[in-house]
Amino acid sequence: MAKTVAIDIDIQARDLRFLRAAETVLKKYDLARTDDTSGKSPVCTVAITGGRTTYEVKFHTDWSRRPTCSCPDMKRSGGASSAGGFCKHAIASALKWEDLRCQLLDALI
Amino acid sequence: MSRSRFLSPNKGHSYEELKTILPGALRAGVSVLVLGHPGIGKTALAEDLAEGFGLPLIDIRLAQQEPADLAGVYFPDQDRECLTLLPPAWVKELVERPGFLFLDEVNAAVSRLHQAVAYQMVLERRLGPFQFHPDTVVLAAGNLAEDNALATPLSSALANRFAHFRLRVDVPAWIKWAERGHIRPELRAFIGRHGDEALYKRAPDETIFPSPRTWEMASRLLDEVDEAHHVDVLEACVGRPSARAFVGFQKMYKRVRPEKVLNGKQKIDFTKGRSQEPSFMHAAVSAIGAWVQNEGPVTTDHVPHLVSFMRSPGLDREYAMLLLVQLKTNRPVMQKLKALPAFRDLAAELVGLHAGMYA
Repeated sequence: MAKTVAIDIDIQARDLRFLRAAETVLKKYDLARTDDTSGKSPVCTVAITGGRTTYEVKFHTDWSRRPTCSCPDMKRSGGASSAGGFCKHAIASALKWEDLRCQLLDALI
Repeated sequence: MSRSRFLSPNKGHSYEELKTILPGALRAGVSVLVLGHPGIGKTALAEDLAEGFGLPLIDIRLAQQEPADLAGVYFPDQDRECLTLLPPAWVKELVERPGFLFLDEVNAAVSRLHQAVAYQMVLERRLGPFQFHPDTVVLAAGNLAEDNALATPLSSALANRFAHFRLRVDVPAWIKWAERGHIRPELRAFIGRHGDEALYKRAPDETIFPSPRTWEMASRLLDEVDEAHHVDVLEACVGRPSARAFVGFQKMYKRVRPEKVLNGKQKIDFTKGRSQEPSFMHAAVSAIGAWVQNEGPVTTDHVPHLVSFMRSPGLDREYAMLLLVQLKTNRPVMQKLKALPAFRDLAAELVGLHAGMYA
């Protein structure tokens, strides 16, 4: 089972959208993770509930592909309105689970 | 307050900003004048804009044209027993099909007649009786008066009809352009390290000075001229102070042997001696990045050593980030890195570190 770490977002964002989005999701919504290792590429799905709509972020845990999210932001612009192609749900999920954190590198370079 | 001896390269809009703003202005039918220091990319900007409009670029320097030639020549028409006015070929082209007319050095148009010609082309989209195709786009550019580079003031009537934009020196845009293979990697690394003042620095009385254009010239000469004369050609293009600074940087750059580093045969300890200097760190990262991008191929055996290099003692993690920024478009290398647990650990650290930078 993936390790969950406490996230303490006590830093001020240069890109405010990046951390503001993550903070909103982490504080207000519930994030539940399910892993599926049966396929060729292991996948985990993070269900984000507590808002008007439930969204699902899908990560390839071997980092073979970028995460996807069912939210309109990711569908419309690939998360461009957030940071580096990551919507706020994907950012929050990657911040919450340590083994996914490395994938945020794609949003930063 | 004392004024700097050097002309300011930092005022105005970046290349990328103008690439975003100007298409809209031109589509709105506003006459646009781009002003900037010589050699900082006005022509390249016009080329990019023309490509964006899907139109052929016609680059005309009014000061190099005789006003009488611009108007065309009268040719005897024997059948009609009169003189027929024939336009210059480029005018005919703009009449028959749309084009992107770039009037460069428009404020170097020294005569009133030149200015009248510019006025007609920019504002009325015609030259004499020859009306340009309605989809033709006209962009004017000129040097700044402070550069003494053939700049004469435009008449107030003409100047007042332009939206004036100033192009500033833009290191990130220049490096992006330079990465397309135009410029030697060590020159790119040097400019990347030292920024605007390395790319463009000119005192009002200097004739040999660094600019995007002269660095490009220097790069071409370094490719062709024997290494023994590299300092000479550099001084001839960018001036002595910049040439010396670059040569110093190049020595550091050459201390790194990327192939050896990626084979695990050269380890660099950035905590010792001159290796602690940020310039050396920048040079080392640039040398490795250039090798991966241009020499390669990077094999699975290389990748752990690439990660080890990013974890070299004393190498600030931001330099690892800088290297990854250089490599991000190299999909095969990035895939190999991402498959490596050691890289995933490093990436997680870098994410945390990067977030810390926001504080």
